[in-house]
Amino acid sequence: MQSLPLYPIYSVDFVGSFLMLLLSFGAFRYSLELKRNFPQSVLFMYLFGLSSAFVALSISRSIGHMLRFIFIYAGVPHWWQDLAPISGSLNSICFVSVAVLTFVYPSVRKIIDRVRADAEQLKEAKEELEAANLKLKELYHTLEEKVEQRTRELLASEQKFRRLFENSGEVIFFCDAGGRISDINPSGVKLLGFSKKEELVGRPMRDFFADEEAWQRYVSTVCERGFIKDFEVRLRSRDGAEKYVIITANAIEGEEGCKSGCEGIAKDITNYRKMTEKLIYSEKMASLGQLAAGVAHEINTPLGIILGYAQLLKKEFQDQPEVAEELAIIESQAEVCKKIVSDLLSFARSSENIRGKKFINLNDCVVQTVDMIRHTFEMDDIDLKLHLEPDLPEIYADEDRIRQVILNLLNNSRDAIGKGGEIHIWTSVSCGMVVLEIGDTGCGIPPEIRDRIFDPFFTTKPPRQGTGLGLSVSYGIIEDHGGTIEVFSPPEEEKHLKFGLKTVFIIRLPISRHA
Amino acid sequence: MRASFLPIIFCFLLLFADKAFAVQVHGPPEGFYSHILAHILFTVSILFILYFSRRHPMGTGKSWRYFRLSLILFLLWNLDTMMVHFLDLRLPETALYLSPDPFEHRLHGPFTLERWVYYFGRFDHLLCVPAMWFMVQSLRTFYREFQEQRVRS
Repeated sequence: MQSLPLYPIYSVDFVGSFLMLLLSFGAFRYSLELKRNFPQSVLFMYLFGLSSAFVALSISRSIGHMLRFIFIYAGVPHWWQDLAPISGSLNSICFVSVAVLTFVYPSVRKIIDRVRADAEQLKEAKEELEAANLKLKELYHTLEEKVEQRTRELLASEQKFRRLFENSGEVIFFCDAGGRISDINPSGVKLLGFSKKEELVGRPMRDFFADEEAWQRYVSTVCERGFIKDFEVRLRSRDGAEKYVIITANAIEGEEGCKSGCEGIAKDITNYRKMTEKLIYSEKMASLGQLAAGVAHEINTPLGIILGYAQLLKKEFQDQPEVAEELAIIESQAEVCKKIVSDLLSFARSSENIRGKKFINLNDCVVQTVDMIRHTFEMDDIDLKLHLEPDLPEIYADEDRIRQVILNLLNNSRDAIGKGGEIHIWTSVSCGMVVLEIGDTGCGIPPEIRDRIFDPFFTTKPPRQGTGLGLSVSYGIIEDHGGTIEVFSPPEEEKHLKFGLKTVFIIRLPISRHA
Repeated sequence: MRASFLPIIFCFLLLFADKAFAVQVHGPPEGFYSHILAHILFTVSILFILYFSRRHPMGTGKSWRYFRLSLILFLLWNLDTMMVHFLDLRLPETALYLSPDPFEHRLHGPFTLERWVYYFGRFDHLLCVPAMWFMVQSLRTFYREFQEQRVRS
């Protein structure tokens, strides 16, 4: 083969150039549409730049190729020689443009991505700010309303707790760090014997503790553990009366964690405690009564035999005065023993029967007994004062035994007074019971023996001056009549205190159904 | 003081002015080199964008496939045209018969491998036209995909 024709190359160049023109414009059109529709897309911006460069390349190169063929065919090849460098330069510029665009695109994309991320963050921040602003506006608009609502709620809550504080039957108190009362409810004011809260505020709480040791225990427990629960203690009110209370209290923590006081509730258990004590006491007395009855029954029979034989022997030995005198001593001592046994039986209610009972007026019993002893008492300068209820209902009782009770109590009062004093006797009606109160201005009963005065054979008198059965017998008789006997030393009621009484016995006897 | 002294020195130096070489003369090979360098830059940029798209995938789907095919074909076209440019320089003037009638233009032998490569290498439009066609297809697919996406949203 000598040579190859170049016209196939020219033909392909000619057609190819034409197709390149068409296709580059097609690419330009699509890239333009994409750029218009998605102006924020970096990729489409790049593709648009690329397409534009390809359009320029196609125009320059393809038209160059086509013109070269035409110029040569037309016999003006020097025209092409003039045009070729321009076409080549343009082609070079297009290549460089495409290259620059391609190199720059990733960097631009990165920058724009970063800018977009920043913009997104800014947008989010703006949205958050707008939301916060909206909330603030809303808050501003509703703040007043919310404050009002909150105030109403606080007021309602305050009223609720204030009502609870003011009306509570329990004592509610607050103390400062120094143990001084800073606030206390009306129940507390009343319990401690005051009339106004202001009188109590600022006073040390320890002043009201009857026992110093109990106060120390209370303070140390609250300080160490931060609270105290069901702490039973005796409080002393303003008038000296003792109250039993159960305290449950918490220490108040200050801002820096230290104890800045305490707050608590105290429950008055004085009545409950008294009732419990009474119950225990009555149980004890019942046991003692059973024991005394048993002993009395066992002793009563041999004692009767001793007494009978002593009397029999005394008759037989009338002619021997010395023996008769000794037998008289045996008889008299046996009589004493019989009396004691009889008293024990009275205490033990072993002689319970209704043979001696009848409808009687207590005032009559009191008057008869007082008349009997008045003279003796006046010799010791003891004044007997009666405060009798005129229309006292009758009671169903053994008159002699009731008189014995009154006599026992009056004798005890005389012993307590010694020389010079007053004894007051009241009769009254209360809660379906006839009440007899006997009080004296004597020495009072020490607290440590107050719980034992009704025990059989318990006495504070010197030996041989008392058997210690007087109050036991009285207790037994009153119990036998379905009543109660209580002692108050010192007394609690104003009517007793105003006469300076130190001890008051209160007897309650049921009013008879007949009455 | 110093400011007024400088113009005097400048005027003095003008008295000794000689022939200057400030403007560089561009000979005929410079155009060829510039053109080849432009081709090289184009080629490197295509390699760069292909590498970049592999390292940081820009997307998947038909449009991106067409785009990559277009770039590869443009890359081959660049290599082909650069090769033809170099072979053209090596051809002796007698190798080409360029009569006034273009239909009589011929490439004379002897037909070594270099001449064959030169002859077939000149059919470069067989590479650049498909490259551009794939470019159009890629843009068209992009356009359709985004149009559909917009309609859906």
